[in-house]
Formats: sequence, structure tokens, C-alpha cells
Amino acid sequence: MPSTNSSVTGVEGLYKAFVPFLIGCVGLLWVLVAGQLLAKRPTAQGPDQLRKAGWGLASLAGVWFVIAANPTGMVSSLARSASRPLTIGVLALTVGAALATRFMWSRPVAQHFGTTRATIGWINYLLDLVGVTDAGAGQGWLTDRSTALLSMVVVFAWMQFGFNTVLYLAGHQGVPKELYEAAEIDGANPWQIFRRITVPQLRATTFYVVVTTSILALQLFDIVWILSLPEAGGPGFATQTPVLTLYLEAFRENKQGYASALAWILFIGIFGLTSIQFRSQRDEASSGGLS
Amino acid sequence: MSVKRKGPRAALVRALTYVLLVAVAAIVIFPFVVAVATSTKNNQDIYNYPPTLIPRENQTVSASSVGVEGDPKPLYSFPDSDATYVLVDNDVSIAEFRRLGDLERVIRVDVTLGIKTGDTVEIDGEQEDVFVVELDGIAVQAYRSRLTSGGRFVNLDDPSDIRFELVNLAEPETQFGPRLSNFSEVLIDKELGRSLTNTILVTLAVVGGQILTSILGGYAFARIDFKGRNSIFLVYLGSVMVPFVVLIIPLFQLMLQVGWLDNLAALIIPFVFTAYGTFLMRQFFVGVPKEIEEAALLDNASRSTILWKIMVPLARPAIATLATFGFLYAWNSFFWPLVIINSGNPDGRVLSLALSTLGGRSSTDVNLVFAGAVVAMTPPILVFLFAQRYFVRNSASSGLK
Repeated sequence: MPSTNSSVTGVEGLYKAFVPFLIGCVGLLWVLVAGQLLAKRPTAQGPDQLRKAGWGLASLAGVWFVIAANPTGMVSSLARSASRPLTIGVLALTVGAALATRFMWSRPVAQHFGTTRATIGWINYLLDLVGVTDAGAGQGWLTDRSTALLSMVVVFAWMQFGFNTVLYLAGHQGVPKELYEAAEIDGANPWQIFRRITVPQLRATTFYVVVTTSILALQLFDIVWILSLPEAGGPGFATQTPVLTLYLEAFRENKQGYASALAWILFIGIFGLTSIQFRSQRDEASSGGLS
Repeated sequence: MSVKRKGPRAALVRALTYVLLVAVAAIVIFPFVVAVATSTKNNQDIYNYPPTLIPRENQTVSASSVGVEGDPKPLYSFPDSDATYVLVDNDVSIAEFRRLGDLERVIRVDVTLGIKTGDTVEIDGEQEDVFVVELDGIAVQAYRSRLTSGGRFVNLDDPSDIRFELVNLAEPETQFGPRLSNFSEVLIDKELGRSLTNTILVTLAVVGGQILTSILGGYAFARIDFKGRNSIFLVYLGSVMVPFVVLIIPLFQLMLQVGWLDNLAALIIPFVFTAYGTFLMRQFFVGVPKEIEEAALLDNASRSTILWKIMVPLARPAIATLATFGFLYAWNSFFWPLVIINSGNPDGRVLSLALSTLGGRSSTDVNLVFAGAVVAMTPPILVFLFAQRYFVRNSASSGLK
């Protein structure tokens, strides 16, 4: 019995790994396309319109950060089929790395990864290797208006990956083993097990991950600040986020009243998300579905 | 009837799962690996293409082995020769000639070595002087296409074999060579040591303060009856709902009034009170059976004895969780220090801030920025490794379950 058990979870693990991968790819593709379309907008307009466009882009940026960061957490379900030391090792490294990453990103570092200057960066080099680009042609990921935001989305997703993975792992430990055993006895195939048990059982986790990551994305500041300097929020307004706008208005323009107004607008959005999250937790708790 | 998957197919699926798992892990860990690798590279190595993960340094020989004085000289090789050459002088004037009849053939020699013949030849509509230069021991006719500066290379085994070439066209002979002095350089010369000290100080103070206030507050909310306890607790807990962005400007104004701008106190004092930590400790204390306390009360133990001698030792897991979260938060914080310690007080900078300015100031020294980053991210990773089980467990209980 144990051997058949592990084989089924192995198959299941495979599905679990592909699904988030596909979701992630679609999300990134969408960001890329939307980025291309939007990047062309602000150029022909005056400074005030630019500012407004910046705000529009800022809000969209928030949405994009959420989209790219969340599905990645799904990969964690894989951990169930892997051996424990491997899981712990991988987790510790990914989470540790992700937690410490705030320090890792600065503009020269980004250059080193190929995000601002061609030819020397790792990303451009790997793309060269795969043959996507001509050797040495390179892409200025952070200096190009259409890819700057995408680059930051990737960094944000990478930073959130570890913690969201821990959340999924913790959530997965709470799924009753009997459900899987019952499904196996009933002859469910791995995809059905994943679709009908794992996903619904992790619904609360998914919800929590989506909401908390959204709240973080809405308050995004440090990645953008560090990666877009010396032109904060640049190139143009391509990577302007709400909190970056707030900082610039309050501490560069010294318009602290105006910045406070921005903060309150932002507060409404975040508060909405937070209360939804609190309510759902209370419902889960009172319905007894989760301890 | 269920059909179980056994045998080769199951093994294949399992193997694929592992491959996939490792691939995902590799993608996630890769930037981290690059950071560690680059932090030990030298200034030349970081610009090498293709980039490598293993730090390389140029091989050198002592200057006396090629009969000159000075520092050790680097070794190079050329695609058209198996020999190893020593770069004796990397700044000599070089004339570039192109052989008449075979204009693709470039001949580089010391600028004094070409002999003008007095004839001219028309190249691309320009009249060019004809020179006689030596090519592989034979004198050939050529015209001078440009003057440049380059290196004088001497064959390591045959001192009579001298080549004049552009240094960037030569292939350096490299060997494994980590440059560990990056770390001391970034800590001492770039003054990140001071920022590191500040960060440690701030983090310890914040974590210590949070533990203290959370234990006291949590215990009071859990076990001491006072008027309006539950409503005060609700309001206190409600402050979790207020995102930090809303607090920035009022808090900044407050710090301005108190006179703590540019002061480390502004990084510590506002953060030693944490509703989340108090909530965590209260939840834990509420779960401790009352009988334990009542027994101690009967023995005439005071409240503080009960708290510190009985409750706190019991609460170690909760305290560890709180300390881990507090540590990671305080160590990583960037936005608030940027707001507070921004107006020209380099001595008050914390690590995250110092690193971002290091990145801006000496942006060519990627290796130093990475070295600083490695120094900065080692403590959080260690803390996480040690506190990992609390971290995972509490992530589960912090909202999901």
C-alpha cells in the first residue's frame, strides 16, 4: 500500500508543478502585452496628464504585481511528493534567499543580471544561449519602458515566492490524509485528486495568499525605488507605484498634505482587502471548517 | 476497481517530479548563487563575457622571469598560437598595418618599426604611404591603417618572440581565484561596518522591546481583569488593520516634533510596540491552564513571579516566533529608515540604506555591492534556518487555520 500511495502522489506532484507554471506563464505574458500597450500612452501628453497617467499606471502596477506573484506559491504542493530533507533544504534556501533579497537588488546588481545593460548580464546571456536573442544584442530590461515594470514584477514575484510557498506548505499539512486515501480507493486519477481535493482544500490558503500579496503589492515601494534610481519610478512613469508617488510628494516636493490624501485613498483599498480577509477567517473559524 | 500505478511508469513520473522540483528550486536560488559567486570576484572578472559562477583571476608570473622589473605580469594566449605570452607592458604605441594585396591581414608592430618607402597607394580613394614591415620574418609592403595603444607580449618560453596586440583581443589565462578582500573592503573602506553595527543595534532593540511589551501586554490582556479590557484589546488589535503607508506622514511629523530626525531612536521606539505580538502572546497565555497559575497564587507567588517564572518559560515557542518575525522585519526595513535617516547623516545609516547608496555611488563595483548584500543577508538566512519550524508553524496559524 505505501508504495502505490507514493506513486500516485508522484503523478499528482507533476500536475501540480505544471499548473502553476502555466498560470505563471500566462500571467507574465499578459503583463508583457499590457506593458507594451500602455508604455506608448504617456509620451504625447503634457506633464499633468503624465502625472495622471502615472497614477493609472501605478494602480495597474499594483494589479500586475499580484498576478505575477501569486500562482508561484502553488508549486509548493510539490513538496508533498518529495522527500523531507530535500523539501526542507529547498524551502530553507528559497525562503531564506527570498527573505533576504531586499538587499540583493540594486541598479548595478540588476545590470549584472542583465536588466539595464546589454551583454554582461546573466539573463541576457542565458537568452543568448537559448538562442532567443542575438549574442551581444541584449535587452535593457530596466531602461526600456515596456519591460521595466515586468522586470520589477519578476523580482517581486521572486521575493514573495518563498513565503507564499511556506503558506501553501503549512496549508497542505492541514489537509486530512483520509481524503487522499478515500480518493485512491475510489480510483480517482491524479488530476482528479488534485482538482477535487487539493485545490478545494487549499481554498482558504489561496485566498489568504492572494489577499496578503495584494496588500503588499499595493504598498510596493522598495523594489521600485532601488531598481529605478536615479529616476525614481522611471523610465518615464513606467514603474510609478502609489507609495512611490506618496514618498516623492511628501519628502521631495514637501507636499505632505497632498501625500496624506494619497495615503488615505490607498488606505481605502487596503482596508477593503484586509476586512475581506478578516471576515473570511472569522467565517472559516466559526464554520468549523478549519481549526 | 482502482488501477494502481506501479513499476517503470511510476518511477519515471517520480523522476520527472524531482527534475521539475529541482528546476524550480534552481530558478529561485539562482540569483542567490550569483550573489555569492560575484561577491568573491575581482573587478575584471565581473565584466567577463560569458559570465561564470566561479571566480577567476588572471594567472601571473613574476616580472623577473621575463627580465623586467615591477609587479607580477599577467599571462595571455592568442587563438593562432599554442604558446603562453606575458603581458610585459600594457601601454605601448602600436601601429596597425594592412598588407598590400591582402588587406584583411592586420599587422601590429611597435610604432617605431615600420619603414616608410616614400611610395603611395590609393586605398578607398585616399592616398596612403607605403611602409615596409616584417611579417613572420619576411619584409612585406603594407599601409598604415591606424595608430593605437596596446600591449607588448613576450612568449613565456621564448623571450625573442615578441608580439604587439590589443590587450582586449588577447585571451587571459585564468585560474580559480576568489577575492575575499571584497568583504573587508566593503565593510571598512566603504564604511558598511558602521551601518552593520547600527542595524544590529536597531534590530536587537526592536526585537527585545517587542518581546518585553508583548509579554507584558499579552499577559495583562489574557489574565488580569480590569475595566474595559476587552474593548481596549479590540482597539489595540484593530491597529493591525491600519497599513503603514497611512502612518508614515504622521509618524514623520511626530519624529520631527520630538527631534528624532536622523536619529536611530526613531527606528526603534515606534516599533517596540506591536499589536500583532501582543495578540500572539495573549492567545498563548489564554491557552495556558488556569490551574497552574492558581497553584502558584496559593503559594503566595506575586504576579510578576508567575509571569516570569511560569508563563514565560512555557511561552518559548511563541516568543521564538515573535522574535523571528520581529528580527526579519527590523533587519529588512527600508522605507522608514529612508524617510528618517536621509538628510546627510551617514553615521546613522542602516544596512539596507547603506547598500542602496553603495549601489548608486560606486555602481561599477558590482562585486562590492554583492559582497555587502551577502553580509546583509547572511543573518536573516541563519535566523530563518534555526527558527524554521516555528516560522512554518506560525505562518500556518497566523491566518489560515
